[in-house]
Amino acid sequence: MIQLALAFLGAGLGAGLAIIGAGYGIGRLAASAMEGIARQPAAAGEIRTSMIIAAALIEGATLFALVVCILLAIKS
Amino acid sequence: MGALVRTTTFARMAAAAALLVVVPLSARAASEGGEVSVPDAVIHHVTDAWTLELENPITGAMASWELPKWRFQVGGTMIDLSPTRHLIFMWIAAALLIVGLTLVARRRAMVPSGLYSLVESLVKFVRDELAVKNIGREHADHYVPYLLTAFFFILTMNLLGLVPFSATATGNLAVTAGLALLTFALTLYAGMRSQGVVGFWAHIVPSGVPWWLYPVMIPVELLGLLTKPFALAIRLFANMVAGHLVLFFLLALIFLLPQLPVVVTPISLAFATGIFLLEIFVAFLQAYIFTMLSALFIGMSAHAH
Amino acid sequence: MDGHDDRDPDRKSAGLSGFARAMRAAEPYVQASWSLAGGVALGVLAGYYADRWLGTSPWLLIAGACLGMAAGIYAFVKAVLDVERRKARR
Repeated sequence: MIQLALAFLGAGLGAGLAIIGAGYGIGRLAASAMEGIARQPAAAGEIRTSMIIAAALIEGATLFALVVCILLAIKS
Repeated sequence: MGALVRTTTFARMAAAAALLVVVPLSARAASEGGEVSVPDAVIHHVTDAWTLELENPITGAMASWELPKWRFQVGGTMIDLSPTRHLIFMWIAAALLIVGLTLVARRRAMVPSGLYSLVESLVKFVRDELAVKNIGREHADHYVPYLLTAFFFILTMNLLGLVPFSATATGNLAVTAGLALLTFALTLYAGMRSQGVVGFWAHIVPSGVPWWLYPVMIPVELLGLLTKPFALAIRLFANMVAGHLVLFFLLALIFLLPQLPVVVTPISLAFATGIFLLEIFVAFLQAYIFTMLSALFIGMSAHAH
Repeated sequence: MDGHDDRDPDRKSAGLSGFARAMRAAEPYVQASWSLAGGVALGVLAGYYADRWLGTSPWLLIAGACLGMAAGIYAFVKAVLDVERRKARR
């Protein structure tokens, strides 16, 4: 019983921490992208494309952690 | 006046979402005597199953078709090739693409119009933005057919999963692993084409390593080769599954908080509609990311010297 | 922005986007770091299964982890030196 409770607790904490990492990382990415576009508006298209790609890669890494949390949370 | 039209459109969308998703969920719980726990019902909607199910949203009647079993014994093991829900939707996506794209491509007029124009702009996008910009102009045309296939197939499977009562075929790790294995095979092919069949495998281990370390280095380097397709598979699978899980759990909040339905329902529906629109964007984005990373890995492998 | 590059005299990277060019330049080093991770993982797994087979837990696991780290770092340094040597030779 206590293992089940600890598994659920671990899943919740893990998901929260993973999202903190992703949010911080993607926030910094967006900040530098906006600064880059502000400095050189002519490169806006390429900066925007690279930003989307990098954001998707960071989210992919976060979803690794999320898959582990879901595996913990659906123990029953 | 414009704002008024927009709010009534939003209200209509929210009502449609309610009818199509909430009522069946409640009807399901009611028809099973309320014995189904909410997480089990949600997980049942997201994972693969041996049955195809449809619910009549008005009356709550549920129709469930058991899919045929195709099992046969080979040697000592039982091979099970029975179709499941995700496989049926893969077939539907493939049939849609084959029939639709063949019909569209047949009308090759000088000035394109209608659906042909849409397909042509997507194909041009994949060829110019994804293939040429990641593989380089000289080799891109060789790999464009595979990239187009991957892009359209993944896009169709993702979008089909957003239709009510359907299943997302890319929400199955086997499907995404198969697609990632195809990209991996093309990566090996591109590497062998540029460095020679023997040269490619001989250059996996860095030069200057003494021969007695080869049994250690070869598995290490092979593992390093496999991480890229592994990440491709997990990224697509987790994005699709996570999106649908969030959507279902937001709607399941209505059943998890049964004391205040008047407050919970509109909030839950609003969030669910928002997440639904985000899922449409994620469907396109994940197809684009998979194709772009495939092109990138093929390009890196074709020029690795 | 496109391809007038002294480091790429035969214009192999014509038509590439900036992102693709950056990934292609970084690729040997990323491959080397995966060798480091893979070496450690291989050592730990080998040590763990040798432990289960021979029953000497946890010493073989520790030995496998140390050997794995050594092999991983060796592979990483060798791969990076190889890349540098190949770039200098060109």
